[in-house]
Amino acid sequence: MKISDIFFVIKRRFLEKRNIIFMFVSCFLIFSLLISLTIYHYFNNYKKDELTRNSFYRTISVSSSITPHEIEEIVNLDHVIYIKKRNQGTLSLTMKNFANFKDADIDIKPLLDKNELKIIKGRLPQNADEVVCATKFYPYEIDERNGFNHKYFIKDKNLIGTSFTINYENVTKTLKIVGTYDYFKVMDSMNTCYINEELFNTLVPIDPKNDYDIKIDKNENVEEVASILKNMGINYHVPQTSNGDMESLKYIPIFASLLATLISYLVIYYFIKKKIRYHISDYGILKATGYTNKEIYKIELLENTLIFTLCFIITTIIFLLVYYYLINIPYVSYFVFTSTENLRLPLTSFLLTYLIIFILNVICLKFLMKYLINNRSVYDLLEDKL
Amino acid sequence: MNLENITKTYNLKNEQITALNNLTYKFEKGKLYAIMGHSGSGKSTLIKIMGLIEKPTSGKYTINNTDISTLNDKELSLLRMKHIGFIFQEFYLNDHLKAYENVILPMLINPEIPKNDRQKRALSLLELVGLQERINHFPKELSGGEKQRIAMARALANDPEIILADEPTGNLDEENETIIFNYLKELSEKGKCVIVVSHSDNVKKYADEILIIQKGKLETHENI
Repeated sequence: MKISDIFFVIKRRFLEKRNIIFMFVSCFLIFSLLISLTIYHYFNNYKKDELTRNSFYRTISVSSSITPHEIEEIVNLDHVIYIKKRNQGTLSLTMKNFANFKDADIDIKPLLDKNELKIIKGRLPQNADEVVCATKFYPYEIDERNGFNHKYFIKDKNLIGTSFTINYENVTKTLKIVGTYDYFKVMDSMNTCYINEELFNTLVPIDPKNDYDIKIDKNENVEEVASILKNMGINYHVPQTSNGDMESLKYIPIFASLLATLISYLVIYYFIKKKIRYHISDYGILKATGYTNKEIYKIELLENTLIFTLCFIITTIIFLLVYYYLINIPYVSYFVFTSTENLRLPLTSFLLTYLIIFILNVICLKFLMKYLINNRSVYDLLEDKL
Repeated sequence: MNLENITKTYNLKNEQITALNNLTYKFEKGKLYAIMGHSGSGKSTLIKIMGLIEKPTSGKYTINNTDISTLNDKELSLLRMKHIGFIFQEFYLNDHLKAYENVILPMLINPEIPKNDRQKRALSLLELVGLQERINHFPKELSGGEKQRIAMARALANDPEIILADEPTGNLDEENETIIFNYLKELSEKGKCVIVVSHSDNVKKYADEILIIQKGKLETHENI
């Protein structure tokens, strides 16, 4: 039986009241599934980004004094990119490799402590000991006020000490970037901290320490290098690779996704059952005129798939509108995309949602067809005897 | 069509009812058979079994030497589609489809009828039953007699050799009854095996053979 023939059978009943209600409910279910899976997607990516993008998780800190010979040995180890004396002594060293987003060290705290500076919020610095950070301007984005965009920020190699004129509540001041505020351990224009221009050159650098950082190529190789250091008798510190809070939070979207899938299954089951029962005498007519159970299954499957596809398209448009509305709210975009370079659409969530809905449709339909149609005589179907 | 010791029983509230009891008969092409009997005699059950709408409890039923008890759903459906046209007392038309679309419905699964010929064939069948003016009407817009004629056109859609009609004039007036019986007689004269279950004595005027069923048994058999 060709698809055009199936359309012939369903063309008028497709938009009947029962199906319209089914479509509304399906849209809501698909929307819930999309949201749950998208949140899950971001949680997963956040963790992955934390591990892959942030060099913090592939840096082994060595606090003991090590000899030049040991340094040479460590540098020659597999998976070691470099060993470097920790760069806390000067301002510029807070960002070792600014061109490369991944390798930025982002902590202004030691510098603030050393110079007894305070982070203020909601206004521009007035006193000599005041530093203001972009996040503290929330809900006003500092980058919006200065045409200060992400791309420019990331590409610039030497932003420490760069002057910016900032207008805030009718006050105009020229400030210099003094470093970045360690918030999500990620370099971002929202993390930049500013200080009065005249104060910048008087800052006291942080005392250098005899600590070393060993950069490893990949996270999964950190343990291997650490065990070699242990054998060499070198004291080291391996950073925690996962954040406990994030781990436990991860279960919320997983649970939400499972719940949305379960509810979807129950609702789809209920609606398909109601629909089959409503059309049962129509199936009797089809059977009496020579249609096989398989052909009736195809008709029902195509009708439901069309309903779900239509709902999926409508819901996706609504979802995208909501999505783009949300990412334009500064705080939400900052939270959601803080660990990502670009605003990526969760394509996997879309595919997974459609797949889940389609599989649920097939499972429910197979079961209900067998239970309500296949095992009954044509006469029972015609007479709607269930 | 050959029926051998066909028995059909129903279980109703711990009580077993025998609708057909060891019924044996052979039907041939080119004849109009009238099956008559009182209400509850088992005549409708018999025609439903012959139309593969219901299954017998026991006995052997063969069509063109094929034992239907050995067939699966696909084979039974093929047999219904190619060889049997069933006209129901309740019409059983699809309310979502127009008159001509109801007639096209059985043709959708018949590979022997090309797609381009379906509409033409449906229209000629509706013309045959005198409904050329009603092709674009939905069933709810038609009278009982018109619905029955659409059901008849649908039964003829795939040009089956067996036409089964269960009380085809049960809901119709005398004028429509005469129209329907005339069509059925024409079909039998064209070489089809037409079997009609009816209460109406008028059917006797058209029948080649009359079978009287009482309490699930074939009581008398008259050759006209």
